[in-house]
Amino acid sequence: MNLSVSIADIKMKNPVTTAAGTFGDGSQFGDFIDVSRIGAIIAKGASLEPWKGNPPHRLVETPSGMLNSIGLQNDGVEGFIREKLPRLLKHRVPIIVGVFDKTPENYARIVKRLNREKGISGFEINLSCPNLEKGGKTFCDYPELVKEVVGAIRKATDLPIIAKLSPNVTDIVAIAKSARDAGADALSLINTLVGMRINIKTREPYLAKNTGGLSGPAIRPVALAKVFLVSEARLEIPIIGMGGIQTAEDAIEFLLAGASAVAIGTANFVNPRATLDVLEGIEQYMRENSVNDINDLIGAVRAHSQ
Amino acid sequence: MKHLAQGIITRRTELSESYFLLELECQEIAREALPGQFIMLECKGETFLKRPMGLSSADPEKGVISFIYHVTGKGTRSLHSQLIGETIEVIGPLGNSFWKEKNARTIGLVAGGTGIGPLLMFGNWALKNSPETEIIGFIGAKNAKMICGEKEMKRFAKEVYCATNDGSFGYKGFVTDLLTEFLSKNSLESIIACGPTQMMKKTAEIASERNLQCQVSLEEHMACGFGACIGCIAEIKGQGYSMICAKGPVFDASEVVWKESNL
Repeated sequence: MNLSVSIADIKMKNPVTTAAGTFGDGSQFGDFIDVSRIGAIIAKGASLEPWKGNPPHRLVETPSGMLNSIGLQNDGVEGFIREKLPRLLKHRVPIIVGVFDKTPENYARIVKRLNREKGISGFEINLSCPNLEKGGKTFCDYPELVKEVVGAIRKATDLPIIAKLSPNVTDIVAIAKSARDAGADALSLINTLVGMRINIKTREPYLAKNTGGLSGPAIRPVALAKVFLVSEARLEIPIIGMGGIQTAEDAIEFLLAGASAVAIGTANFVNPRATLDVLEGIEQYMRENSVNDINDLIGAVRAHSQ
Repeated sequence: MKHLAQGIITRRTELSESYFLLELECQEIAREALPGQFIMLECKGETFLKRPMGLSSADPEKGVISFIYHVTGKGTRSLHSQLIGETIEVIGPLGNSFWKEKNARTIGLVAGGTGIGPLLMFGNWALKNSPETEIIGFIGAKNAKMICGEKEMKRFAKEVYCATNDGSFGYKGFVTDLLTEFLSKNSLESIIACGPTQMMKKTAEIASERNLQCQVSLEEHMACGFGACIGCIAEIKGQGYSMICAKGPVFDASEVVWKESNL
């Protein structure tokens, strides 16, 4: 039975990875699972300089999910290289490092700095940051801004680049195309949806930043549809599917919709065994349905003709 | 070591109005838990995230842990409807623990609401491991009916004082006013506070004015409880935002940057 998949040049022994910002440096999960069994880790990564993050409250529960506004708290690229990267590399699985900042130039500088470190398998570009040079417009909302950032990073590295796209857009296929045309090797679909909750006793929003990113099973059907839409567009670019995946059944839906790999995010918080539960469930599904190669499931949805 | 375990509900005891002590059979966690540590508890029903609960006891011989909950929201209502013998998923033990200051012979425990739970565990631990320690308890509540854990605290404390907002039991006013009054005539060498943030902030001020060492057990919305989500943060002097679940929940009160946003 073959479970291995490829995302650009990244060889994964199975299709299960982690969504950025939900898996720490992996060591937080060492008491619960054998982290080396995961196909790859997408780590939150770093901005160029340290970011303090947002004040509390940073998260609140929602129906079948949660809202967060962590504010990408991190120790900067040097702090990441010193503290987190060595711990990540110990797991002996491909490490994909998240990159985020407020100007295309900074994105490129982070990647150039990380190029000098051994053992990194690729970069995931979080495009859900405000662009300081363009009046705070969020990169992933505009095809031309996506092109600019991805293009700058493409020039800065030969390693695979995965562009993480937001669902909060009118036409995700257009954004996906511009990421691909600018040199992205793969796509992560999807980032969180913008959401909000208000405490009716105090009349204040629960989150200090008023709104936040909705994640968890609440967004799964949305994520699945985005993966399906982009996959149907035949852009010839591999997709890592994510958004509310909790079980193997969820993951298989994403594979069928066209994802070559799946990332477990918020589920890690509720069930620290979620990654391996999903992996073991996929193996069981393959055995029960006589699927010998996981690649036979990718994009194998029997979509109704329109 | 942290465990993802199944706990079996073995007993529910009503401590006061809408405050309950729940006992769970859970060997893995009972063997290792220390006073001040917490668990993340599945609440079933309409809840998605697990809920942090400060442990009120851990008996390694019986393999039983307990915590105190107050029925307030969706999670605790759902938890309250669970029956004896039912199983719930638990992650723990989590976080750091209270520490006993060297030379601190008289320790004041200041409790508000469910904050009594971890303090009961500390008091029982001190009784067993540090019998020379003298414990003075302070419990605050809205009214007489909601005073929680007085009887349990009397098992190890030399004295227990209660305060109610409406004066229906004990001192009339906040538990922190009661503490101030106590300290005007008596002395303590160390204070541990667990309860609403406003109460802990005030206790920290009282301790700081008198140069008393003070520990507080902080609370925040949590998603994971084991350092992955970075959601539950408190600002710590010189360190920026620290994760309450991983660096705490117990902090030296003098290191906490107390702000309105903590409240």
